[in-house]
Amino acid sequence: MINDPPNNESMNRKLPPDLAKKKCQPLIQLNRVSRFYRSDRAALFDITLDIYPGEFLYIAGASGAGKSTLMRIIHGAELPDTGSIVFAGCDLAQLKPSAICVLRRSVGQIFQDFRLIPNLSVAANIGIPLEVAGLSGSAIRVRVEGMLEQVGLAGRGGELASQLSGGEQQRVAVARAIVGQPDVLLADEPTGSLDAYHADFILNLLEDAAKKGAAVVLATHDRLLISSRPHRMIALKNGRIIGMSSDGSFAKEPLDDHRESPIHQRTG
Amino acid sequence: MRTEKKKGIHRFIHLMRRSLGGVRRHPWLHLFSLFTLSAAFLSFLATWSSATNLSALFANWVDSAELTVYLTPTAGEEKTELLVNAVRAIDGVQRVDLLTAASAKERFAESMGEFSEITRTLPDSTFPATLEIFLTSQWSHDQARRRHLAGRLNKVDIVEEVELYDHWYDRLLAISLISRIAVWSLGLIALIVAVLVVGAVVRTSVGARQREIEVLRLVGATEQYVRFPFLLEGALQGVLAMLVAVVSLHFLLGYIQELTGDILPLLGVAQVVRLGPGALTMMLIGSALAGVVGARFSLRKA
Repeated sequence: MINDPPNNESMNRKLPPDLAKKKCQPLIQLNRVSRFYRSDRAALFDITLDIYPGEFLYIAGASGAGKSTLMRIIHGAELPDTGSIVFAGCDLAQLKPSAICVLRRSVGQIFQDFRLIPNLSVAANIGIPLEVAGLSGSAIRVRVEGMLEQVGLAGRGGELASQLSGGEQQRVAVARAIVGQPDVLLADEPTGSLDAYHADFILNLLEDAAKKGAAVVLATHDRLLISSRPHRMIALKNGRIIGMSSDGSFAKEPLDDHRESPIHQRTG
Repeated sequence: MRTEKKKGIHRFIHLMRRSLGGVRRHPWLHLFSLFTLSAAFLSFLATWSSATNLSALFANWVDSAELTVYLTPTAGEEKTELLVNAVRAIDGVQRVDLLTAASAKERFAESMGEFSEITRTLPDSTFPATLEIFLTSQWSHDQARRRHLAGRLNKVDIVEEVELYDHWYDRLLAISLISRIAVWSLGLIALIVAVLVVGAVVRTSVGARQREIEVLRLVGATEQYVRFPFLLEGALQGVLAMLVAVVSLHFLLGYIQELTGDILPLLGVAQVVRLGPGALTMMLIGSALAGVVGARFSLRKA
């Protein structure tokens, strides 16, 4: 017997144990968020979720489960059709587009395809968020050099982004995402196209960012990744939350088949 | 507040760098655009300059004697003076200059430049004594009054002929009107060319920088921040093209001055009239605006 999906407020708003000790307030609150691309099919349906500063959260699910839509909604790139999203106390629906842009400066994003500007240098790519934030050229240079060292690319700032290997490009993408010391890091399948070494490197960087206080949200369909690095996780299917755990234990079951999973009953 | 101001300045510097980066990345495209725009602007400026010179010529001509009365060789001093006083008394006559045969010859010689010495060898009788009648502006633009005055003067016995210059007046008026229409038409064409060319270049630039635009939006750049470099790129193209056109016109007018230096005094004009700093500033601002409009046009779907 399968319980109803655990898409209720008490469950999804439960503070992770380590953060509960610190009496954290949620940084991002999604309240019964739904998003429809077609009237008969919800990309996201009735999602309620709190994300806390300093936590590492997996959003798991197969392709088409709604992970990327959820990431775009958290980023403010899309607004929900119903429900609300509150970011650092601000309801995004009430904000002007320019205010959402300013809020977005406190969010770093990482993608599977890196999204670097190929004909710009590595340093220029990393410095973009700082330019938008209005830092001076010299301050940007100092911060970028520090960042290059942190991601293991010291001395390579002058190279074109397109001249780097895939793993190196993802390191640049992570550097770009964290150089502005964002409150939230959204990573959409960041290790999807990387070898084990580079994937580990990237995940270490993301875990470091979480330790420094950023809320890291990582969308993935890779259950091995989740089981190897356990953190809080929610599982999506057809736009609905079908399960969640505080230690990634869902990953022992196939992510595209949660409704049949015994784990699902345990968390429901 | 001060920090925000500093941030604004830094952002502006970064945006300027980003704009120039766009030009650096597509040098040939921008050169082509610069050449096309300069050609369009130059043809407009050259027409405007021609119209300005024609207007100057026309004004000069209108300001010079509007009626020339050629006296008979037998007109004596007494009768001439009587006529001069009578004409001066007419309402609408501003000034009457009496040119004796000798002074008419001298004036003609002065206007002949390098041929003046040869002209001075001619006998005085070659040039009849004349009265140059200057009218008030109200009368000078009233053809009926001028014709009436000429008719009355023609009846005086010491008057050989009255030259009204009406046919010249009408022709110059028509040329002046045509040149003004040409200026406006070419101005409009230059504006359309500027908008289309800048628009096409910026569209190409936007296409090539889609990833950059996407990344800027991702990291929280406002729409103004994303669009500003392209608008600046458009404005720069417009201004640079106008500057090239202005410099080219300067040399072109210099060349024309050299070619026509001997003829111009005959037309009563000392030198080629150049566009003033006010007009040129207006042109530079206009070209920058045309560039911005072209860029904005292309950014609608960016």
